[in-house]
Amino acid sequence: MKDNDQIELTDLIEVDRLVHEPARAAIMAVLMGVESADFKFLLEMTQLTKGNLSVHAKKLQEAEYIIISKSFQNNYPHTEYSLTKEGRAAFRVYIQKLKWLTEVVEK
Amino acid sequence: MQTIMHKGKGVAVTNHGGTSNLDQLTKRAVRTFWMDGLWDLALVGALILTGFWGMFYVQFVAFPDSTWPFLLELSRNSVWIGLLGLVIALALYNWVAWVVVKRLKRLWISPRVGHAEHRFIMPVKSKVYLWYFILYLLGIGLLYGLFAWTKGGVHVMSVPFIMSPAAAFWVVGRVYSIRRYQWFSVIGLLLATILELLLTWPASYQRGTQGFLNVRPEWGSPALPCFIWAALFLLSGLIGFIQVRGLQHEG
Repeated sequence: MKDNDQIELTDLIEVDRLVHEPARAAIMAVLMGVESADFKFLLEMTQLTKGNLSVHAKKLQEAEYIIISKSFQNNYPHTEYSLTKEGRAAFRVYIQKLKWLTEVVEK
Repeated sequence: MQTIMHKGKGVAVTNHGGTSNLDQLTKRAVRTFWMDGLWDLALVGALILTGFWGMFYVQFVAFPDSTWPFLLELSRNSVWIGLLGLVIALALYNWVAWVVVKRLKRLWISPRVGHAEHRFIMPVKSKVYLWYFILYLLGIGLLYGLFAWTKGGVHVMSVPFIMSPAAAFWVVGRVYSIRRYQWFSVIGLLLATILELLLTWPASYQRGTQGFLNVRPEWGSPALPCFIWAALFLLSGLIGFIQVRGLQHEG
């Protein structure tokens, strides 16, 4: 049976590396609060650069954590982002682990 | 520690930032729903509707013509049907308002500050609801006591209409750091209570009522707080809308 230290170390190693990146965590945190958001809204909220936002959103899409829908509105390209069920679940687990680890470290 | 490129004053998101920054980001995303003031403006209609309902309903229930010349209570069914009518009308109104507000946000707000589709049931933690109910029940208890002491009746119908928007404004303002909501909560609570105390006077069944401020002390006048809150929501909505338009000009 594992002792407490081993459990903590295992949990730290098992943190979802895809979410455990500041830009991606920020994108997911914003999307947790809404049904969907467009590119401009995510830029405003996360204060990332356009390039960073695009790259990290793409990575989240590849992991099927978010859905990216592209369309045209008044002849301008429009991109909307929303979390998938898996994405929401992954983010919740990630937050729980972070909270738990913070509590352990503070103790 | 991982670092990340931010433009301007970004939210500090680092591996050491922990969950609080991420919580803040989620809250900031939710709070944009209220910041532009459009939902406040939509609620003005709901409050006016409720106010007019209150003007007639309370007179009907408190001074039923059908029982004249005897002061008899109406059947429970009559009382509940009136309340149910209001609930259905408000549910319909809110649904239409929700659709209209979403369209207006897309039309007026999103071209400058981006667009987010909010959930009809906001992702609010259960302790927020708990705080709302604690505040609401505490306020109701205090106001019932105040009205019973000063007006000879608890104003059972008007007190919930004084307290409910005040508690909602306060809790939402506090949780999502919307300063104007916290101010309007206090102003509305004081204004609605003071005006209810000063402007209403007891009606007599024999003489009949003279307007919606001439009330049976047990019932009070729900129309008055509704109209006061409608004015404050209008002001709050306009402030929010102007603030967001200000952001647009800066952008």
